[in-house]
Amino acid sequence: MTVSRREMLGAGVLLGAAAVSGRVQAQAVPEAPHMPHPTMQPPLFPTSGPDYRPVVTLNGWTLPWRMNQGWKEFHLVAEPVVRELAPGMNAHLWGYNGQSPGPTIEAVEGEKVRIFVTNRLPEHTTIHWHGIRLPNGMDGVGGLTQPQIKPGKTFVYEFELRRSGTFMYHPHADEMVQMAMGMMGMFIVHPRDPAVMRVDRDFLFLLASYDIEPGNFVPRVTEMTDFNLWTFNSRVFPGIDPLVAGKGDRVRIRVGNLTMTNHPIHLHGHEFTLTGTDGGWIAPERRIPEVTTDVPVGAMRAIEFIADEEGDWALHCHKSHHVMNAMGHGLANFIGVQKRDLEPKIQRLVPDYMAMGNAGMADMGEMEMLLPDNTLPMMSGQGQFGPLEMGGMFTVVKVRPGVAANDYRDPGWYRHPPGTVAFEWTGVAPAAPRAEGPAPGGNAVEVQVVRRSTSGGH
Amino acid sequence: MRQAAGVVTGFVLALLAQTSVIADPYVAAAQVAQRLGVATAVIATDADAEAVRQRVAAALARPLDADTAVEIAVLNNRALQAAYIAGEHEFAALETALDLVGETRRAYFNAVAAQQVASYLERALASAEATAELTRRLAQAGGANRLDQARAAELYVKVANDVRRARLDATLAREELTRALGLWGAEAGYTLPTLPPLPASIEVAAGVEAEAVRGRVDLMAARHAVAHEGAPAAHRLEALAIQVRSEVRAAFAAYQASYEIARAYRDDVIPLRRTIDEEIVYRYNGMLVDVFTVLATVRESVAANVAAISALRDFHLAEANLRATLIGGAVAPTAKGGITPHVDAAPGGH
Ligand SMILES: [Cu+2]
Repeated sequence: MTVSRREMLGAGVLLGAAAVSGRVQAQAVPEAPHMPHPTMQPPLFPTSGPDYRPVVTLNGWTLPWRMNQGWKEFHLVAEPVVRELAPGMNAHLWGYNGQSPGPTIEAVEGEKVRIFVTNRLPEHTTIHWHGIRLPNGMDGVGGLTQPQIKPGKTFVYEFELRRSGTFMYHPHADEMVQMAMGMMGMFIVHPRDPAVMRVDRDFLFLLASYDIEPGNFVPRVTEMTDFNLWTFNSRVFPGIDPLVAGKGDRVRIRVGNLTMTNHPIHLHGHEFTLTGTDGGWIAPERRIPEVTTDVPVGAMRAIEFIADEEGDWALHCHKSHHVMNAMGHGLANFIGVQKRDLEPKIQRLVPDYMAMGNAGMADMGEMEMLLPDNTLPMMSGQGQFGPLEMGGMFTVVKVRPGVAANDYRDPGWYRHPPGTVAFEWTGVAPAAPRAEGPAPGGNAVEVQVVRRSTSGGH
Repeated sequence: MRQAAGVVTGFVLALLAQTSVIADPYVAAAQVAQRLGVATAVIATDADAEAVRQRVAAALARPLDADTAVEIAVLNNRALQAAYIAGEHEFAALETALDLVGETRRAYFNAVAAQQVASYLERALASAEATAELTRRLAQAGGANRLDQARAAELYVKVANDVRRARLDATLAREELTRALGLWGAEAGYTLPTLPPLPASIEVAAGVEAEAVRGRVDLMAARHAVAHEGAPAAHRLEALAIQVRSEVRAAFAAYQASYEIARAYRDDVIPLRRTIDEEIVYRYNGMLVDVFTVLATVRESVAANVAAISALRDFHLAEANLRATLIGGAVAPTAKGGITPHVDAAPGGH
């Protein structure tokens, strides 16, 4: 799965590393594994160091490590990457070890970690370990707690993990640009005692937003509010992995928010409780049941539930614009406007024109049409009953009986027991009272229509 | 001396070479035919008139090209007939003919281009009409307001006026051509094609000044005058020669630049417009823009195509002018003001 990077780093970088981290012995820099594709990797069970139940990163992976005289050593390489957001669209981002977000770092409470960070970006960077207790000089704030890591240089961060929980890492140097370019990753510290906060499946993803003009490849890094791609782990629906669970499994989902707005994450079919934030675990008696949890900006949330309802359950941000891909925001609302008869007229001017939006925008989910290069439909995806009409921050929790403990493969669409799917009424429909509203395509609205003739005259 | 059909062509000049009876209209006509390389006629009898009428009718059976227009004018224009008979001096008829040729070519390219522009603007009108109609329906459904409707309706009226103006321009330009051709009645209903394409390459500048000094009819007349009038005429000849050289350089510069401009429209602007139109449709497909933007883009494309037609016309006018500076005949300014169609951004629902 991973490709050795040792050769690619070259002697100059190795020398730089040695120069920076004098405390580290010769041959010191561990391999920097590289991930060439956005496929979800199976959990990485520990073969050295203390035991724990590893996490699963949606469309991502965990960074392999080595033990070195009691230190757990990792190597992150900050570099330009090409991230597939969903089939049909590649984003030219910055990330770590081949992907954005970077690989998840997993370690155990009480462990000492040594993280080598090599900068292969065209500008300096640092890494801040969000939420982690550590010596101030390891906090990664460029200029404040350390000099920035210049391009081509390798720095070493060393600290002991004093507290278990859900954390993340991201640059604290030219932060606005580097985060808008996709630089981020998760940092999971498992409890020392594997029985504490134990779950059967532990999924995680980071929320990131990008503004990539249709036809472009790089995000506009100066955008503050008007993003057009809302991602889980730099993926959008229909490119986001499903979360597969065995019926009855205790499931944890950890979500971190590195966008510039909040995201109410909503799970269908189950109640969950909020069990942790980046500030720590929440005592059981203080947890309240929820079906939606708001993930604030710059925060992490861990939710847990028993996957006791079989089926394909939507998991998504509840802001409806965040479950769409790129779309126009200044479009006229043509609902109720009959324009089919104008279609031939417009087609004489624009041969490929097709009338859309007369009834809503669902046409979009059903039609395959030519779009600008490297652009995903605003809504797409196909389910067993028809088009899903989704994009952005949307995926599915798939609960099935008898799923093997470490099997995360997509089981396909849920087979509903007979008589358990909503169905069309074919009997006599009762005369339901109708709300008073404008007749479809009606002209009895209280809108003053300018009667002045605009046709003829030629 | 007279051919059966009353039509005089270049080769009869050989028969006339010995004679110096300038007042003879057949000599004048033969001189014109030889100099211009096109047939002309002396219309002295009903039979002559009928022969010319038949030749003109045959030439008008097809859409008219520039060379045929010149042929018809030289055969059929009665002002030229008057010049053949009047015979004021040795070069008078030839100068009249050269003026007529230049005027005919200019009128031809103006008429053809104006007709093309007017018909292209119909697209802009259809786009503005669809915009206004969609905005009206949108307002009925509550999705546009009085301001949107007023803007859309105003745009439609402005574009409709552009079309009216362009149609008038086409009519006026065509009448200019019709006058040069000497046509009236049913024959004035001739068909015009579209502008000829740009040639693959253009003439080189080398030698054009010498060619003009050798070939300009006004210089020939000036040289002729030196023989009769002496020193003042010699100064006039020198002044005219200097002027001719400058006119040729200016005409060549206009010819070359207008070629490059027309070629840039053909090879760059129009293909780029196609890309823009295509990309806008892709964005419409992706619900990134709405139909009003698509229709506004149509109007932008019309403006680009109208500019391309005008640029091609300007090249042909510049070429006609260059010809005139080389052999003689009145020279007209190259560029005419083109139509600037309205391309206002889409109103409605924003
Ligand atoms: Cu959201």
